[in-house]
Amino acid sequence: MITLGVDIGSLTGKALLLRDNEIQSWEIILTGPDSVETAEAVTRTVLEKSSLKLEEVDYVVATGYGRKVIPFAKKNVSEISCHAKGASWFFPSARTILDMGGQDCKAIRCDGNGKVTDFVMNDKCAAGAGRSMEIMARLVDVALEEMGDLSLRAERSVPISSTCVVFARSDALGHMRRGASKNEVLAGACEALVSRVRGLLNRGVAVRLEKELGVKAHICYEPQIIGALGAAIFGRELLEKRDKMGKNA
Amino acid sequence: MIAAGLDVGALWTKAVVLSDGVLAGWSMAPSSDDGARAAETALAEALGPLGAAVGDVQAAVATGVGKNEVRLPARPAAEVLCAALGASSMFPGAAGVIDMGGESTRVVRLDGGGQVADYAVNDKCAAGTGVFLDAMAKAMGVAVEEMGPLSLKSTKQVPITSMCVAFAESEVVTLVHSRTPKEDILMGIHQSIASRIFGLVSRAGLPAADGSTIAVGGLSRNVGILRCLEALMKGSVVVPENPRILSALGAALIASGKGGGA
Repeated sequence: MITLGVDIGSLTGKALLLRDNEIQSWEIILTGPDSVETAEAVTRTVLEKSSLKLEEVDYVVATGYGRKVIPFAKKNVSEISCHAKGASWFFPSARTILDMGGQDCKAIRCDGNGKVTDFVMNDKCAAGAGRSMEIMARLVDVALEEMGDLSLRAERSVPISSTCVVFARSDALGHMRRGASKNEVLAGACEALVSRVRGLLNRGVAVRLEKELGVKAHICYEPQIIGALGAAIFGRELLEKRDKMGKNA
Repeated sequence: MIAAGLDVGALWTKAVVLSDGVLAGWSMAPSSDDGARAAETALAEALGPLGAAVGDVQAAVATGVGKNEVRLPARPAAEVLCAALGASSMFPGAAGVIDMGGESTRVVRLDGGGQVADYAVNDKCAAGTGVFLDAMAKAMGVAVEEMGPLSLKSTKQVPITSMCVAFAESEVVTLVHSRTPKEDILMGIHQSIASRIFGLVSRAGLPAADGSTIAVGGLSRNVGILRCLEALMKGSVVVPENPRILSALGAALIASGKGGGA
């Protein structure tokens, strides 16, 4: 059984092929202005990687903010459900999932089967979302991918107290004028993001996480494909259910 | 007696000089990185008409986000108080002041006697502030001064759905690329700003505008924002001739001993 999950986010499009319960291939591309074209392009690549044709795929599930317009998807499922499903596949013991996207950030709580029990999200404000990291990376002129490693090289971090990313940018600029290094500013930016995201966790989903010491954050080897993975699993489960019902009939 | 009021804002520093309680001069300088220097520059210029020097000032009061940076012997005073005093000195009986600054918005409700009854402030989020307008002007390639008049030509509602500056920027760029008429986008931007300000107006409990609400600060010079705000407030607001120096005037009044219990 082959299922395909397509996740069209605000910044990147992801596709993942699942054969029974095994990941066959995946692909991540930048989202273009047209969600349908992005979905088609990322699907084409992922199919090529596994030498498959779209006709050979048994079921396609779409997710992400562009999920509703993808013509070759048979079903669309919210990215919240897909992230819970995908994360539980990787880490069956996971109960809290933090989805840190380009334009929003979600904290999701799920049960042992990857079913969502609660979630909170911030999609109004760029603080705590990927966009704030982009703005800071641009300010100090480093590539987004390098930010994390560079920030870890700093011996201290500058305090960035403003919540709003526009004001935080001015804070950072002021620190740089007063002699702070790029890495110190990056460390401050990362800390600011963490404190925003922690607020989200505290608020609804996992207040008790705060009290529980030694909670370990699991990060998937490719964290961007979780949504697409969840979508593909949803496809598989749907087919399996249909098969079962067919047999019963 | 020469008294001075300094309003060290996020973007501009304003100075007002009173001679025996009468407005004698005023000036503005960009705050840039150095609010202290901007204060000295603005004050020296404001003293020009009197032919006086900074050393001749007998009492000074500073307000604004950078009020504690000022090196001159000036007492600090709360922004809300200065805005209230400045407004009620120019418009006795004013019901309230809406101060729309570069990085913050303050709405003050006054009792009949010019005293602060309640207020609401936003200084955490750039939405609804001058920074938001500046960012949108840049994204659209329109000069800030042209935004207001141009938006009045709008014929179609194009709401900007993102609240955050960072997201609204992308939204506006997308609208520009899809050839949405500039005046319609501009009106959407002004509506977004006005609705944020109106949120504070409601929180401070300002009544429907009946011509006794004073709008000041840089954004009050944008006619598009004013019209949107007036529509939300169901009435008219008054903009003084020099809407940016009102808080500095209030500070100067405190310095000259006319500020009541401040």
